[in-house]
Amino acid sequence: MIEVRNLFKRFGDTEALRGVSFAAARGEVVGFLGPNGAGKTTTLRILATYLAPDGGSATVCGFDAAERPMEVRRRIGYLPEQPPLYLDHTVDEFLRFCAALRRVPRPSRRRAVEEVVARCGLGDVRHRLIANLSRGYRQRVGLAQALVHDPEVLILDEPTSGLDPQQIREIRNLIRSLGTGRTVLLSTHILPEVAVTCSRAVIIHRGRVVADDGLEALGGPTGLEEAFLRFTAGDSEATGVGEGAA
Amino acid sequence: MRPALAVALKEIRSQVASPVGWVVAASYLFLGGYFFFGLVDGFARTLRSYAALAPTLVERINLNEIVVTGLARNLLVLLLFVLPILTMRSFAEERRQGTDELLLTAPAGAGEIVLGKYLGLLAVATAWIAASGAFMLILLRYGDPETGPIWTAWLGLGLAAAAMVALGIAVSAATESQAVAGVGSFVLFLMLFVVDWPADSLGTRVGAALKAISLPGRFDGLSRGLVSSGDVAYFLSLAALGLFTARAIVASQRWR
Repeated sequence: MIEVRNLFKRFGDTEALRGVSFAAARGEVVGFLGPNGAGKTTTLRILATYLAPDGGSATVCGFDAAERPMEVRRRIGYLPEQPPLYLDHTVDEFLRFCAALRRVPRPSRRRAVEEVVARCGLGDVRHRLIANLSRGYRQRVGLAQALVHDPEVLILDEPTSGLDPQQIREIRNLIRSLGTGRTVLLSTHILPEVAVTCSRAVIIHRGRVVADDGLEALGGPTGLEEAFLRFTAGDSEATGVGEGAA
Repeated sequence: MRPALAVALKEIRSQVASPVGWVVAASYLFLGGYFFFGLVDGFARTLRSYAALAPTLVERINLNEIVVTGLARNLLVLLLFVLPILTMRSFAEERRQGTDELLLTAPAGAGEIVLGKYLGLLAVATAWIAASGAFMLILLRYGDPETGPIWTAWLGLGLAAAAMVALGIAVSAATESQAVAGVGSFVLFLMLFVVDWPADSLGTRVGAALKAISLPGRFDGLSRGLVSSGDVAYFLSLAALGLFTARAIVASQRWR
């Protein structure tokens, strides 16, 4: 479903990605791990067609993200690191806008919004302005906009960052409930996140993949932290560009 | 087309919900009213003094020329100030808020996003211009101006807005800062207003070229009731130039 091959990307003098390769099969939930500045966001942005790579290829459902971006866009739901929300819209208005933007046909738009509101637990706040929502709710709206067109592939960039433990648990449960058959690629630098939600982990460091294996092989939930620290040992600030920069 | 329409409606909705939009609209109409009052008052005083001093010349004083054409020209200058405020947010703010990631990863393409922004903002600008038509209703109620030149003058305002909104969006697409976008479009529009000022000292060929791209020069005929295809084509070409530039800038951002 997702195949990333030898991806390169530089910003000015900084090499953000230096040959990233990994793959995710249909129905897999893959954790994309790495310290801040490792190249996670850049990789996800390339997969989501927001950025074009300088070298290598990223394909989603068999379509190259750089050459056939429209085909890729039809098939992905993308939650960027900073949830893209219009604060002057209500939750309902915003999700209807997203459905139209994603070409959900008018007759099924209302139902699509209803479903995603129910699934993300937004029923109580759907008529409130997004500006007045808590961070946890905003993150749920961010997830809802990525789901409203029922995509085959979900790309989530740090879906739980900045949330309190209760909210984190809710979002995790939500991600886990997103159902089978959907491929999920989820980036994070929080290890338990991967342990709880993913079946596989790809660890990236300084623009390179340093580990790519099942959770068990990486030492299970408890050994994961050790694996992470071992693989990402050394200065993690060196490649700190391209991550989080809007 | 669906995504473009969605973006257009969102844009209108944001403007309607934003106090800034209303403040700008109110300022435009307030200043327009102030100019209108001054022009009508000037017309009336001219009429009185001619009637007293040279009754034979009263016929020559034309309500259309003084009030309609005069107001249209003043409103055009007001557009120079208010349209940058309307367009400066369009892409700069999306990028600063990170919402451009939503727009540009949707199955829509840069062209449709730009078109949506354009249609939405042009609808808002058109509403402002239409509202300033109220002054002409007052004039028709109490005077007897020719209606043809009123229509062409307001068509001219609409065409000028169509050009300036497109260019403003292109400037906004090139920056992340609303302030830079606002100042940038203002300077660009102002240049279109004053570009022909040195025309007379630059030789006939260059001078003629500068006059040909002067926005008020192209507006002049329309404000007096003359519709020429050249003038209409000028405004539409500027609009097309703005839209293509905006699309190119937005599309190129993937290749940063």
